[in-house]
Amino acid sequence: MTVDTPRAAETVTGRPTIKPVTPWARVASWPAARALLAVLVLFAISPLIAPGSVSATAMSSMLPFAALTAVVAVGQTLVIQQGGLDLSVPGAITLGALIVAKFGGPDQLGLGLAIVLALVVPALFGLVSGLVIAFFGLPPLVVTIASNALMVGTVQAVSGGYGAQVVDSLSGFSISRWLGIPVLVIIATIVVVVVHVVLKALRTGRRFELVGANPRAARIIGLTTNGYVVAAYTLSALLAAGCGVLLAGLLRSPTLTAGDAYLLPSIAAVVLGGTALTGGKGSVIGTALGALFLGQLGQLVQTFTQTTAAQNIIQAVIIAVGIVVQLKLGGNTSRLKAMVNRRKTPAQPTALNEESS
Amino acid sequence: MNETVDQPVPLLTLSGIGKQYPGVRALDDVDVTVYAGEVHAILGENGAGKSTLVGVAAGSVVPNTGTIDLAGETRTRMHPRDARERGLAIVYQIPALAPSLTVVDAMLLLLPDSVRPSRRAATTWTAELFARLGLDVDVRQRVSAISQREAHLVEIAAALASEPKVLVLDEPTEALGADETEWLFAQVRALLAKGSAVVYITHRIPEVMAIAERMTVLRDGKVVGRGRVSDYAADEIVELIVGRSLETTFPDKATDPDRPLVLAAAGYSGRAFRDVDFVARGGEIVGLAGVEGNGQREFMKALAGVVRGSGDLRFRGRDISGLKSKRAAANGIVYLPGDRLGEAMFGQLSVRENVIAPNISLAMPAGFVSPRTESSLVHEAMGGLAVKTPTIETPITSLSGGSQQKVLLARARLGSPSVLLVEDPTQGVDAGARVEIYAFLRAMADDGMAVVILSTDAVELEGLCDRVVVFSRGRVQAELEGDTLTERRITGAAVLSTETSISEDADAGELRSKKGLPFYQRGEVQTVSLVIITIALVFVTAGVAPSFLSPLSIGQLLAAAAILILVGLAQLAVVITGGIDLSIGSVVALSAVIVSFFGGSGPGVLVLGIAVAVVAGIVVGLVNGLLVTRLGMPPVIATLVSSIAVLGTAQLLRPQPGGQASADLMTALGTAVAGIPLVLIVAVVIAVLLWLGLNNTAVGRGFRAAGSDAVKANRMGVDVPRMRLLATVASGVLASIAGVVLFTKTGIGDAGVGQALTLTSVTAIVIAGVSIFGGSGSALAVAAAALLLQTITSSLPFLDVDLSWQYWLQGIFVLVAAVLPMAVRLRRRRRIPQ
Repeated sequence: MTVDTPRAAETVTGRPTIKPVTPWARVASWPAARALLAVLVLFAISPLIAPGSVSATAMSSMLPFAALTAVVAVGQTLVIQQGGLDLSVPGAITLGALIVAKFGGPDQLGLGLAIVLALVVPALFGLVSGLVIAFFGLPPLVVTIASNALMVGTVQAVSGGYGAQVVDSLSGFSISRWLGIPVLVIIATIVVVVVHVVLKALRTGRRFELVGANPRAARIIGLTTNGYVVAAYTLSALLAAGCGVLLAGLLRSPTLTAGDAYLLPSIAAVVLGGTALTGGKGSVIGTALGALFLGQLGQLVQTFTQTTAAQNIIQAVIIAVGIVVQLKLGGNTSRLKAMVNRRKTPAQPTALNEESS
Repeated sequence: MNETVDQPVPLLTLSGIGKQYPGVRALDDVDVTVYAGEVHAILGENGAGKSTLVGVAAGSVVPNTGTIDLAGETRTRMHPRDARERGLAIVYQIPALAPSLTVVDAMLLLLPDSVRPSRRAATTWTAELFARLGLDVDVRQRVSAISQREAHLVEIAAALASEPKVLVLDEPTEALGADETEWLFAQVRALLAKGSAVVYITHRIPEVMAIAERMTVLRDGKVVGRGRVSDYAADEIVELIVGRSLETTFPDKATDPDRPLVLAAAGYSGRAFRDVDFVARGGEIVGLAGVEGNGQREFMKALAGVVRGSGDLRFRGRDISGLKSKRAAANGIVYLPGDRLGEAMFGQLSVRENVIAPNISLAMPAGFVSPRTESSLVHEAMGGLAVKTPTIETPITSLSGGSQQKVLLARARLGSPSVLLVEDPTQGVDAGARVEIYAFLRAMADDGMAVVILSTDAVELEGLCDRVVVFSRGRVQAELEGDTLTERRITGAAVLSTETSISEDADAGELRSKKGLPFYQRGEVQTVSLVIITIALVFVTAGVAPSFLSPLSIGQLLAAAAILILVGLAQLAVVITGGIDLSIGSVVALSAVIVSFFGGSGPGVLVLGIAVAVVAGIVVGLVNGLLVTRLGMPPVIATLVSSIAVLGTAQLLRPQPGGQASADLMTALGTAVAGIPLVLIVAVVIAVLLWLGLNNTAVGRGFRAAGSDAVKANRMGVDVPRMRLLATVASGVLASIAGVVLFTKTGIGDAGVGQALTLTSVTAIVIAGVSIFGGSGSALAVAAAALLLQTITSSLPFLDVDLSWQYWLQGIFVLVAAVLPMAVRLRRRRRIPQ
């Protein structure tokens, strides 16, 4: 069925050139760029809305809580990068807080051992979630709802239904400062930097992102995907438990619902920080900026109303708006660029058309 | 183009249609007119835009430009339902039937109003229709349990039964045998005689010559030829389709006869192929051919270690049977899947990251990222491949299909593999890039690589390959080489014995042990077992503590069960459409708080309060639904956000629990009929109504179809966003009723209660066997599961068990109930038929 026609086969004349990446484009495509911008704008307008909302006292009351949100949200970022969602964060925080409060006394296990236990036990629940999700392909939502129930049950069993007082040394540590900086902020910064370096500068981190971006494709090129998924859920529970330990110190007597307030902020910080909910590439620095944004936002709302309920409503609305904006702008800057360039170029992208004909 | 001779009536006119996908211009200013009484063939290679074009006509694809004229009405976009009601029926290349529906359900959704039978008569009606058409398909079976070929026949039957003015057939004979093709052609001729028109998409020229009157030829999304079929010779049509000289397109074949054996399979079997003997030698290109679904794809995946195979498989003489992806990669066996977006590319990642992906060890020998090494490796890999990308940091999805494929080939080359397995190498690739890809594959072979390609395009196989292995029914049907390697022989061997395809055989043993639904899906097995477990638990508890059976205790249990039933049903409504609602607990709290303001006086005021509470539920449901459908928020996040806001509202209304209901009212609301609380009766009635609605109404079918497969549901004419919105509103209403019931139980409005109910609602649906991925579930089973959960909660104090067990049991139940069906499915998938 060979047909001879005078028409010559199309050959490519002139190789297409691939331009080097400009530094400006590198900055603009950084996923956390928008979060940084949002934080800067918020801090710039804060004194205009509420004088004193950027004062030293305001900062020192806001920053420790933002730091705790950041620690949990880094774990949530890892899970979201694997295309999942960790709804067991509240259980893990509360469990960590209650274990350290209940067993941290000198006549119980002692603070050191209690902290280890407070980190390991929730991490084991996270490990179970990860194993079930990776090996049975169950929806992360359902599994983490279940593991949250398991951890809440454990909180009940550990606490007997009542909160407990943490030892003074822990609460002293949680509110202490180092070179004038709240120690929680320093811890959060270390966590963020370490995770960032592992994700962006190491082989493991690159593989982690590949598995998150497309697990099927990753499996086909020979990566063992399950380990990364399991690690994400384990680390998320571990970080949430760490947050719980520090929170226990901050609150002195953690309640049985201490972790509940951190679920939505942990997710919101990730989304505001520019990590796509579909998984893959993420930015924990963006997440930390997202947490900072939420912290300052809460601070601002507080100056208007002291009612927690009203604060919750306003925050939920603003978070919803932020998430929608972030989702609408998409995971990369091309949408943003198109919005800017629309006026200059005709509506239909004709360049592509010419290219493929 | 002389269309003035015996000018018939145009039934369907597409004018100036353009469609842009990211990176691909699928259609560009396409005009097609289809006349009554004629078969209009749409021709073109893979990826030419044929399916997109008919998708535009049928409403499943929204064009960027152009107009659609159907039944004398002009519009810029079509909705699948409208197209169907206006007399356009379509049979897709891959059957678009939502998997969790039964065949009868699917028929009811596919038929236009004018011919649709009532739900009651539908089973008989469909069975009779199938008998009349001579189809042997069990109509009560679920779509997921019938074979692809049967699903195809069901779609054809639905299209024929709808007495269409325009019938669109997209590659209908690909999945059909010779007899069925004859049958289909007879049906088509009967339709033409009635004055209908048929749009026929194919790339088989003989079929076009046999049946079509007029044709439109597409290449790379543009019309490159049209007119009467009789004005053209077969070769001329081929030339129009291919648009190039075949001889200059393909590189010279291999000449070196001394080729080392690289990969050899002997008696290799897998899920869809059996006893395959196959060899690939270094320096040659081997093709895998066959009609879709005859095992060639699975065989290629097995060579790549992606699916399991058993038998003898050797790589350079070493035994590598039971290969897995990781080992394949380590041995230098590289596989490029045909589903580029789904299985090959890391879509949101850059060109650089995609090229480096399988070569991480090469780019980071010490374990650390080095941007400079990566950049130079990427440029080295893409050298000579003419990839059109602005920078190497551009996301790969924004490239054209041809450039994407070139990036993937570059990434494969970088690791210097010994075997290159490429599935559909030129699918969605424009003509220019195609030539370069052929040349690249040949160059790889000349370097000593064994190249195996799988293609549906016989012309491509003839031109490119040194040897072609043709599959039929999972076995090697022919091996063509040298002079015997022609397009005609490839197609001939492929269709020679395809009366039934292997996929049906494989499915048959696994899913259809008997006719009809399998035992565990039949009727309400789940409901009955849950009720039995509940009764058993009641007996055990009563044995330990007889006071458990006191009227007070049982009454409290049943009243509390009513709340769980309602929240479970609320969650069911959303989950069955493929969503999830985490705001249920908050809505319950809000509703209870609202009603508490109206509980202090007479019944009239209370009714008003209930109305206000339900309206609040509707509002929350609407907000949830709009956030998901309009703003594209994931359901979890949308409902989590609204959950916080709703809870805040409830707390604002009642910072402290309060609002004691009057004693009379409490007595009236606590009414029990024969020991059964009124509220439970209400809840059970709602459950039964929801059960009937989901099973037997158009909206119920729409819910299930939307949750089962949104894309297919849309093609079937279901308005998926509307279904999702309806579901969230229903959930809001049911949750608010649950809040009212909660108030009648305690008589106090408390914003603090209710949060745990969100968890319980999820627990209830999972235990009830509702598919958490959407599509199926029984309201009765949910009610039974809710009853069981409440029985557990209520019996714990009597059994002297710690409160923590209430949570532990829920968590364990969810995990076990969710893992079991998955484990069964995994086991089944792993089993290889011998």
